[in-house]
Amino acid sequence: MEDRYQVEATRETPALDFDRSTGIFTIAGRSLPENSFEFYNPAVQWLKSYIQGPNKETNLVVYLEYLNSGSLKQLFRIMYLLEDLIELGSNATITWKYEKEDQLMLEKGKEFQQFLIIPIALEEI
Amino acid sequence: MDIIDRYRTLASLDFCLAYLDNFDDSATDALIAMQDARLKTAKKMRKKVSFLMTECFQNIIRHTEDSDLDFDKLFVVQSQDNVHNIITINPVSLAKQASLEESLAMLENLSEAELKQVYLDSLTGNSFSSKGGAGLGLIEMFRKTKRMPRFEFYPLSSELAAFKLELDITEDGISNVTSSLPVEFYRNLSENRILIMQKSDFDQDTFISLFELIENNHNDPSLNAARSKKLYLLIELLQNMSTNTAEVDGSRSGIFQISLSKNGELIFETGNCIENENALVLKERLESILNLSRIDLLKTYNKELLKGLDREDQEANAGIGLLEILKLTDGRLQYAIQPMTDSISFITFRAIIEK
Repeated sequence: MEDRYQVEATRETPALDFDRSTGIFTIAGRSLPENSFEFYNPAVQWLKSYIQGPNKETNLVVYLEYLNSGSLKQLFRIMYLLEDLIELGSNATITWKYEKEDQLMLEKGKEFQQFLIIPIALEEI
Repeated sequence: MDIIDRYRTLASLDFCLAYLDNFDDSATDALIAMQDARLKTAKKMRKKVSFLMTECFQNIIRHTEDSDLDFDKLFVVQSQDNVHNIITINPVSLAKQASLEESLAMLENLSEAELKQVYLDSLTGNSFSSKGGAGLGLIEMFRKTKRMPRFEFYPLSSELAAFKLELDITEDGISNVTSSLPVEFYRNLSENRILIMQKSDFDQDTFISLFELIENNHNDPSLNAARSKKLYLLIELLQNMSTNTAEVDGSRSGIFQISLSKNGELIFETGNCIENENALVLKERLESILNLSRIDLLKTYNKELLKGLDREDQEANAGIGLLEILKLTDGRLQYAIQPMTDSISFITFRAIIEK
């Protein structure tokens, strides 16, 4: 397993940077892929390996400009995997960033909070 | 004319984008980027199309007479194979109409050498047009397309006329061009208060380009809340269309438009061919969710969000998009399915949100 999973942003997909050395994983940009499963699945597979031997602290920072409904479920898959870390005794958190006045992105963050045990901090930019 | 009639009228075109929204310089770049990304033609041709699009769009910005009419300006770019048309309509004063008619009549009778001379004179200030730049723009259009622009005027009021200008762009300037659509088609867009309309294949690239164009038109940060709602609706409707469009005669085309109702609501509409089998599935799905109360809608949405998370394929995402559209529009979503052949129907969606 590579120590870092990185994908550059495009017009339609976000930058992904999951860095084991810092324990900070970021998803940033637009998430509008036509096939969200295809886009996020390699990251999910990387995370599945990561949780076999995780850092003590892991923080996922999500800062999206837009996301389509297809991406929502894939983000859920990622967050569920991080939730497993808590059950395994390590510390995992999520920071959900949103632009001021982007109420819809704030709502999405709240939806995740509603379904997940992992702490999700909503951070206005 | 409703969206299906509009689709039928445009059926023979590979691409048609009509734009009646904000006419400012920032929109020019977005429109050009959109057409440039789409054209699979030689670089020289792409450059020519971009140049003429800029020239025509700028003409509208610079030479429109102020009017108190809504939707009085129109910019269209359309393509069929390797023939491209740019059509503009904008209001001009009656005096301007007379001078334009004079300039155009003069251009029509010039040889290539004379045209070049007029162009050079115009550049050095010996303008053949009393209004300056308008003349230069027309000469450039004539020179680049190697054919006379088509034009017509029709009255708007006792003081104003609409000036319709149409350029035909071909590789060699000689090939035959398709006969253009009647002016009534474009007037109908204006009468129906259409802000933007596109008929084309709706693949991911086209979707992103259209998204960026509309995003560019709503970049006022003070309107972020309303802006994001519109853009999310656009995302879900276009991706829904892209997912369920059937291939007919080698093309997966559809139509999309946004219009402004008289009471200030934005109406988003899509239309596309769909296989009958898929239409039935979609119909069943829509009937089960269209009349849900707000609370039931949220419950269904939450249930759907958690469904199939362990599935390792894209199918797990099916179904959530329509619920998202219902959430965004507070349930103001309508659809219609019209059979076309034994295997294909035409499906339209109409979603309404506050401006």
